[in-house]
Amino acid sequence: MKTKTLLFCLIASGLLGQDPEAWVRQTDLMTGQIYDTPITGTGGAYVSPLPVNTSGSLYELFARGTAWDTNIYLLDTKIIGAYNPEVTITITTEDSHVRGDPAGTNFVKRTRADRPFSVGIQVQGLVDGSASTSERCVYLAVNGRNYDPTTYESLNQPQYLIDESNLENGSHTLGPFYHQLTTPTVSSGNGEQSFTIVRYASDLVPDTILAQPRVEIWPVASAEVGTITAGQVFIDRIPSVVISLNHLYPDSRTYVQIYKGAQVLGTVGTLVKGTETRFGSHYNPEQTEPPTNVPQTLSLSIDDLSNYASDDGLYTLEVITHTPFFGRAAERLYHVTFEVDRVITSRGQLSTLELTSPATP
Amino acid sequence: MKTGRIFRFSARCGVLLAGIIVDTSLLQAQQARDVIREEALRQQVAAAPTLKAELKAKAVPLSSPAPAIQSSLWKSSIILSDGEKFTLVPVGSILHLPAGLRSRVLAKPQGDFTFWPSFLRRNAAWLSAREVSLPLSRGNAQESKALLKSLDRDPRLIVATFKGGPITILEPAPARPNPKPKTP
Repeated sequence: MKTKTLLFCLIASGLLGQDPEAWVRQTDLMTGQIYDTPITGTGGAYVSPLPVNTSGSLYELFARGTAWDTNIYLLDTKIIGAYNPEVTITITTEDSHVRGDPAGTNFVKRTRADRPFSVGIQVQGLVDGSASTSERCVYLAVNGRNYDPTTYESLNQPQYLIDESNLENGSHTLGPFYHQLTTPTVSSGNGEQSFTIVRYASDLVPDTILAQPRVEIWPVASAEVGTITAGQVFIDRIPSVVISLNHLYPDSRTYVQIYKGAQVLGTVGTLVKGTETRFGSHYNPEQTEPPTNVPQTLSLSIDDLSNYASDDGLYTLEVITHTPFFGRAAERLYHVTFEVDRVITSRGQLSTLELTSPATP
Repeated sequence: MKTGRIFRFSARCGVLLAGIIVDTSLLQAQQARDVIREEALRQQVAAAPTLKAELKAKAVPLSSPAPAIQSSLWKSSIILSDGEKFTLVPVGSILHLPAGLRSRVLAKPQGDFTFWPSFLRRNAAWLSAREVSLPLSRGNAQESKALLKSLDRDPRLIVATFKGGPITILEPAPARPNPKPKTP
């Protein structure tokens, strides 16, 4: 039996955390013998300790999720020594963030539920015109998984098939299209879509996943402000205002601003102190901790709004967020215009003046 | 002379205009907006191409049953558990399983997954790894026989490893019957 030692490169980053652990499972295609190699480190070259015989071997890189996520993930697959189609895949969103190796096949991208994305798939190495499906096509499955609406976790959330098809040799650009998650509304889309490309079983090789990248879809943020209603008139101190911020994007800067006058989109007002929240490394460049990967929902209380509305007149309160979308331009989540009219206090002062006025010559 | 002045003026205007156009485009990119409402988003989605339409135009419909899209990891693994953690080893890698430790082998995972090296360390009292040679792992009957005999009375569950990694031990090839002598 002819044997050779193989230099097999796998990048084991992405799902691996501070203390990465993974293993490579090598399956001999002729005998079915399985060999597990535990590996440490953040990735690089993997030299198979086991010789590869002429019939070939299937290599699969597995890793565990980080922290609370103890699921086992297939990070990469390689088939050596047998006929093997090659697939490269890209998912294009407006958010440049990526987990895992973007040049690999099992990375994770992210976007927001109201933003379209596109998928580019390059397939080569198949046999054009072959009567055998396994030689002519690879299989593409588009699956969805809705996350927990409160915790944004994927644990124990069922996967469902969105669509499936076969792909032949060539370059396939799909989209841009919007997410197809089965959430109650489009804007509440909260989950992931995965694009699994499978080599059909043949030549002793079982059905083999060649690529399985995902795109995480996070809900469109929203804001609600209690206590103040549109057109409300405050004749005294403005009471405390509670602002609920829902699904703030994991890469975002959000704040409350106030300005005098009726609402005009694009007005730069005064930032209300203590209301600014920043998530993600773009808005926290000095942060050394890993940034959050999921949206954030929180409440703020503003107790000193009167300090920002000292004069009588109309005021507009707005909740603004900035994200990677639309060139990080301001997006207004909420606005309300109210009036401050302390006329009663003013009349009291006037009557005092009237009483004292006769004394003047 | 006058024409030249106009030309120079026009050129400057052109540069200025170009600058304004550039600035305006930047302004457009940075323009504030209200976050999209569900009704407007639904209209945009309705006007955009769908994944189904894209696949219909650019891919080929299935002509045979869809392949499995789950990794064969679970089918090709034995689950070992200590009640709190579990690990996976290749099918056929358990060399010795005393009757009292059969409950350590599970049909379905329970608890959190941990990798083989740490699982071995935390369960050294009842679990052991035995390094094997490559020929033995590939069915060398003589070596296998000697190994299994040496493990016969070991009270621990023993997993075959090669350079520290669990490995399947293939069955020795069945002995071939003696070929009949060819008749002349």
